[in-house]
Amino acid sequence: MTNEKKYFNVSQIFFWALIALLIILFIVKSDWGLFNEGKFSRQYLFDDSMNKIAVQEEENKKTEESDDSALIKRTWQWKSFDGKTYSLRFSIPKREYESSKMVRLKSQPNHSCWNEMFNHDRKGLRNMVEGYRNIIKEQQLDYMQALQMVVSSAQNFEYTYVTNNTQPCRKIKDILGNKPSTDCKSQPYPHGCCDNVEPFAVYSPIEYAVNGAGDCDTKSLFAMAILKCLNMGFDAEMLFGEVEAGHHAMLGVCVPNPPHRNLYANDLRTGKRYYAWECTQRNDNADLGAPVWRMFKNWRVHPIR
Amino acid sequence: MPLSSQIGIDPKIMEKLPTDLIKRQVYIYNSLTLMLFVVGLISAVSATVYSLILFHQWFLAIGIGIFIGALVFNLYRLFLMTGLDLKGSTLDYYYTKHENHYQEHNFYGLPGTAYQHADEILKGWAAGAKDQLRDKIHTNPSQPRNMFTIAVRVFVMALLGVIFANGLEILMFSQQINVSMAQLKDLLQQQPNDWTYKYILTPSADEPFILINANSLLLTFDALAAGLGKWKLIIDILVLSIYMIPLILIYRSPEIRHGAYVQELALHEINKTTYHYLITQKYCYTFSLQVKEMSLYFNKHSHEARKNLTTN
Repeated sequence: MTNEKKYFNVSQIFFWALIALLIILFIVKSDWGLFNEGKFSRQYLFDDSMNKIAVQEEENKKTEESDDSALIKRTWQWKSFDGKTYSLRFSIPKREYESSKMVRLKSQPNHSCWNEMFNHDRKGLRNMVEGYRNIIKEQQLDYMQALQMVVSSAQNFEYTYVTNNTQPCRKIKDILGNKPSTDCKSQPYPHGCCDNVEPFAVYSPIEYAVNGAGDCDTKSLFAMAILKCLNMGFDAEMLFGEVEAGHHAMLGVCVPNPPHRNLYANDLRTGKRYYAWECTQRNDNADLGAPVWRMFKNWRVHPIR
Repeated sequence: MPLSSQIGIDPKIMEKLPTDLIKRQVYIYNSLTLMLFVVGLISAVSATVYSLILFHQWFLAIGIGIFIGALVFNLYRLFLMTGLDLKGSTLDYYYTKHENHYQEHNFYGLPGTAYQHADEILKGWAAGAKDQLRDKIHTNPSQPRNMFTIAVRVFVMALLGVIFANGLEILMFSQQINVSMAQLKDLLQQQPNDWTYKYILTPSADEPFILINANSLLLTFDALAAGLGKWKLIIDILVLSIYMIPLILIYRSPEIRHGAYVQELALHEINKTTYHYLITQKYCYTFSLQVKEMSLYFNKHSHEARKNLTTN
């Protein structure tokens, strides 16, 4: 075959080979697993969240705190569920910290104190939320990874008992009979204990951000506050109910198809389902909706407005 | 009737060539026609898919698909036919200026006796000149061509290739795209006032979804791109190659660019013009003789020429 003929013949064979390949693709596309069905919805939500983040960044730039001496600065470092270590440097204005304490002390001695503290602390947490946003953007986290990153940061500190005058630290014993330390700071077992946290034995999100000491409702409230401020397109609320250890609070997140679907509570007014997330446990099994408790009774959603 | 006649190829033009060469040329143009049909078919299918997503009506979609398919086929046919030029061949010299051919074969200023022959004889002269010209053909494959024209055609075809590749991929992965859409719908269901949920993912009562469960081409593209990832690029290139190969063949294959058919077509046209030139010359000569034989009287006042009107 001459070179002249070769050119046409080879091109022609190549053309029909491509057509054959296309037909084969039509037939066996599913078997080859070329298409990842789950990626699109995640990508959609991620892009949507990133757009919202961009809008809020602009708004936040207008009201940044500039006086360094009036700021409480902290650096957090923790490992998320994906095994990555994240670092967050943030500052909180001293006056916001003080007024947050005041708001807590003046709040109602019931679940509505969560609303009061959250609504006050939004402004003071702005720099911290900004830090979380930067991590999400820099690490290109999708909404599930972002959720895990935020909640793991709240779980990172050791559990600290938080009590009010109805049950002082000296009266507390765990199921093994051990008493916690009376130091109000995050420390390993048998953990620390904070006395006289009035009126409802819960710290505000800003107080938790500054001191890192908290129990179930403090940690859950903090995680919920950050998630609400991030506004990534899904709802987060406070859940409360009973487990085998007694009354308990957890973070509730309304997302479709979480990894586990064992623990949840329905908001009867909106019909939304909130999957419970244990914020006190620092281990990889305490994922969204995971069955960390054997008993899960009378759980309700407390909407924060 | 050979398939190549569908794109305007006439094998009779090559009758003076060896049989093997004619067969080969007919085979080449038949294959090329089949390729163009396949490209047209892919375009038709892809356009039907797009129309289904936009209009949700089978009849309309198939009608648009057939129209677009025929349009692409004819566009490609146009590219093919206008791509067959003689640059790099000695024929170019004679084809672009036929007078060169007449001069070389002494068809200028023929003696009057030359025109006493029948038309058939003149036809033979033209044919003889054509045969002599065939012997002079020499091609230079490295002769450059007009790159701008080629670039425009490649760009147009590449654009069409990429557009129709997407349609084909949507058809190929329609089930998987629908699963993605269902997942997104589940997510957005929690916000019932969401614009995408309300207008894009929910069908209207009188127009149910066909093929893809969404009203938006852009959202479908997003789902396709997110789901396929790098595979989308690979399939795009695959379809793009299918669209490009016939065009590359037209410009690069020596059997087409300087092929026997193109040369014979040029010779055929030169021959026809030569014959008509000779006939025209013949009749000009005949008419001039007749005019000279006439006894004409011109009256400048009446502006009339009158025959045999002289009076004694």
